[in-house]
Amino acid sequence: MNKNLLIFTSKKNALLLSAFAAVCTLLVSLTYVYTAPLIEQQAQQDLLNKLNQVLVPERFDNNPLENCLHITDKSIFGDDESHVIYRATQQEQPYALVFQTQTLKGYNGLIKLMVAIDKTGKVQGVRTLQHKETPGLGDKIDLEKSDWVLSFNDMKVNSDTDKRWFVKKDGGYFDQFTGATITPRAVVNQLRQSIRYVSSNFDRLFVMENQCVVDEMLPPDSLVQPITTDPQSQFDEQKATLTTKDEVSND
Amino acid sequence: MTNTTTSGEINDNEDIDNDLIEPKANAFKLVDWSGIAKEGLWKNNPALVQLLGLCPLLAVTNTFINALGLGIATMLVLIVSNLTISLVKDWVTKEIRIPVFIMIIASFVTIVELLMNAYTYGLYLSLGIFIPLIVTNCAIIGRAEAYASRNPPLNAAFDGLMMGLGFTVILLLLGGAREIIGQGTLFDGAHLLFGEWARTLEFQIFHFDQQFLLAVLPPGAFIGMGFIIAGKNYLDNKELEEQKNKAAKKVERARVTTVN
Repeated sequence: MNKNLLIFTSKKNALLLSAFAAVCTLLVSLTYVYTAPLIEQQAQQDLLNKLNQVLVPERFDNNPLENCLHITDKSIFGDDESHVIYRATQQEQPYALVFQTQTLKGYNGLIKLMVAIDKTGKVQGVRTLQHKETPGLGDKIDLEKSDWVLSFNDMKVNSDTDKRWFVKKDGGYFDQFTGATITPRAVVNQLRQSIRYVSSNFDRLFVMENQCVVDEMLPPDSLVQPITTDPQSQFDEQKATLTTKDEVSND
Repeated sequence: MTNTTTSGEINDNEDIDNDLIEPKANAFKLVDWSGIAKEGLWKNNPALVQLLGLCPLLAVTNTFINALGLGIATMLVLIVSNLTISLVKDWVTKEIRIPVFIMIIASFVTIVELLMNAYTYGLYLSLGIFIPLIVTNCAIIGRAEAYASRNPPLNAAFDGLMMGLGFTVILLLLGGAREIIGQGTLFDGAHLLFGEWARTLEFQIFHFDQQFLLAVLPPGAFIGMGFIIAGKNYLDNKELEEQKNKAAKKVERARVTTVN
């Protein structure tokens, strides 16, 4: 009798708990569905703002968010994850590559940077996206605290050991901060490596196929192959190859 | 003798019962709104007296706007969770009370997080992990357990509002003080919460080349918090002493009358 009662209450509790879980999940899901497009839009806007900061606005006329590559390359990004490189063009001509890089050699955790370089290898802009450096000391890599990152503008990396691309303490061109050398050193060293690598591979990266085509856009093959072929006919060709493939697989 | 004493005891008990019943009846008719408000804002302030939710309190109060953002988020969660818990309290059995409360709180925190992500993106980024961590803010589960699960919905919602307000006020006090002392600014980053027009709100009170690190870093929050608690205790003690003095004066008069 007692046992039955126990089972009954347990069942009741389990049902109640499940009911609450269901209602709570429903509420959260509804909010998620409602806010998801807004959040996506905000993230895109945020990214676009950052891109506009590292690029010179007058020198490109495309939407870099719709022209990009997904690449895994440790010498560019500083880790083994897949990252995105955005490509800015002016009248279909290559202008700049925007990429993220990061280093763990800072004073406190990961420093994430965004860099844009043009086809001559000149830095268009550098911004710190994320860092946890000491406030008042290492956080001067943030444009909000100090305009130190602007000192990279228009600089080029000529070789892997370009003497200017070090902090002054190491014999280079860039200022370290009073009381904080580790942070700027980490940033400068990481930038030297990745900028050098990207600028020497600039053309190769620019001819790679665009992986961020938005549906409404025409196939951007004109970028890859500047030969005067009609985009529509290329599209048809692709279709043709696709159908032949299908046939083969059907066979 | 024994009879009289027992009857006396019974009478006493009846008196006590009456005393107990009467205020209860009153409480249902007339809600003691100002009492609830006083509890939340001063007497039982979650940040100053209960010392709950210290982790976000200390971590996020580096600027006024960050403090305001987290304060509002916490207050919203407190009001809605208190209201909901009070509404469902009759269906929830004793055994599954805590998991249900936590589920409700976590859902609302997630909803607030999603909304902040959608509408105040910059603030969402600058508050970071501390929005989801509202779930673990003991002030919320504490109110759910101590108040909302025992009181009618309106009282519970009002209690949530007042507790949230009390928490927010302390956040703002600490955030404002740390921002002024640490960076010399006030309302820095207001555009994150209110939109671009609010950039004009930010102003520099004074300028120095080097930030005052102690105020910017978490230890500054501990020290500031200590001062605020000390200030509150000072005021409380002062009030207590005044009451004592008044009481003493009354007693003196009474003596005078008896002597006469």
